[in-house]
Amino acid sequence: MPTDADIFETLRQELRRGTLILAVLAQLKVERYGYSLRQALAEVGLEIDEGALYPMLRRLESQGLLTSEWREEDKRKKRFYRLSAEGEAVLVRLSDEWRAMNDTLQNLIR
Amino acid sequence: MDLLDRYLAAVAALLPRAQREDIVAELRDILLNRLEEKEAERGRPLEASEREAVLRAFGHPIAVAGRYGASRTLIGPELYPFYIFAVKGLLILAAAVTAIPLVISILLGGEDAARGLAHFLSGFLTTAMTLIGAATMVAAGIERGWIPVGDLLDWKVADLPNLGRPARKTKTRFEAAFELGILLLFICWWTGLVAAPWALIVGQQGVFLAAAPIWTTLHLPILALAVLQAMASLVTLARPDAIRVRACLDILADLGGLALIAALWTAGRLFTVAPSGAAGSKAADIAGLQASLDLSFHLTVGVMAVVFLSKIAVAVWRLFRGVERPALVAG
Repeated sequence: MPTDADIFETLRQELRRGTLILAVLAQLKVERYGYSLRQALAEVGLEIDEGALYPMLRRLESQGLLTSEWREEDKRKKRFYRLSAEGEAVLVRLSDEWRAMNDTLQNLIR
Repeated sequence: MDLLDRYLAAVAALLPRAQREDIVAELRDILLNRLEEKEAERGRPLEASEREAVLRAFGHPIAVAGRYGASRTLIGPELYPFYIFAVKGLLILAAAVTAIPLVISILLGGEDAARGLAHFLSGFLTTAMTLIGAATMVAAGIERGWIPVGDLLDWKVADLPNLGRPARKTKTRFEAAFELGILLLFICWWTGLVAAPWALIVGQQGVFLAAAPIWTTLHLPILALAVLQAMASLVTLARPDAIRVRACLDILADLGGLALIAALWTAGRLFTVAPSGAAGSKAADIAGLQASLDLSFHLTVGVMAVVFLSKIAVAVWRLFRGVERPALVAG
């Protein structure tokens, strides 16, 4: 039987899952490769598992929200990602949605 | 080949061919970054065991490759409730097809209760596991789009079983699906693809039921009738709006059923209760049992003839009207 801690952890992960996509899209307004993106997110307090991050980047790219290219940096080939034009439009809409939800929830949980 | 290459080769073998090179190149960069990060922490090159620990922490190659797969669940959350519903139905079906012949066998004295229970458990487990395995493969095929379902999952409230009104007159998609399942199972038994449950009845010690020769004569017609009935169920399932096609198939199947009933009626005895060295009072018991069986089978055949005639009359009416009865539309 799951403990209270297990239940809380499951709910916390469900809560975070959608918001991480928004955070990733927001961070890719500037070009980054996967490792630097993860570091940038960690610096603002959003730790993300690599096992979830890289498949997510590929999914967002296949959906047309990101573009990517291979380039050499520090003598190593790296894949750089950034928002596509479609991704920028989606980010604006998701951000508006996030603010609206945040305002509503602030009132609810006050 | 160092540990990193070995690890990446194991992941690569599990990745889709089209994306393999690209994903592996990216994973190599990620893992080299991780290794360099650890080296920076320690201020020295990593030992082999430390490199292995980094790779282990990244995840088993099967799990890592699985994250890049198109579908990560065998049966998705939308299909799962339908799958579970089907599995529950199949468990009931497995219990019924295992228990019914066994009960008959016990009643005929061919099996004692303890052996019967053991037979039931082994028969039930085999049948249930086979059916659930088949259902799982079908559901996984549907989930991946390998098995097209068209508008099968497109449902109407009128198609739902009318649980609050026992006098329901329509054949819903649920009933058609159940009927199709039973018929396919019967066809498998009849053609010998799977062992028939009535095989348990034959060959037991004491008394056993032997099928009359008429069943051998009617083997192919019964198979053809079952296939025709299965087609009718399939049409009801896939195209419930094709009322005239369904009516034609129903009439053909019912006429076939009626012809079969007539052949069985004229054949006389359908099953023989055969004694195994019975004598005296036991022989008398067997004769009594045979008479009861003959009477009950003839009664059943008579009732079925009436049912088939009624069904034919309804199907002809549907064929000419081209609509379901009011109760069917109202559901």
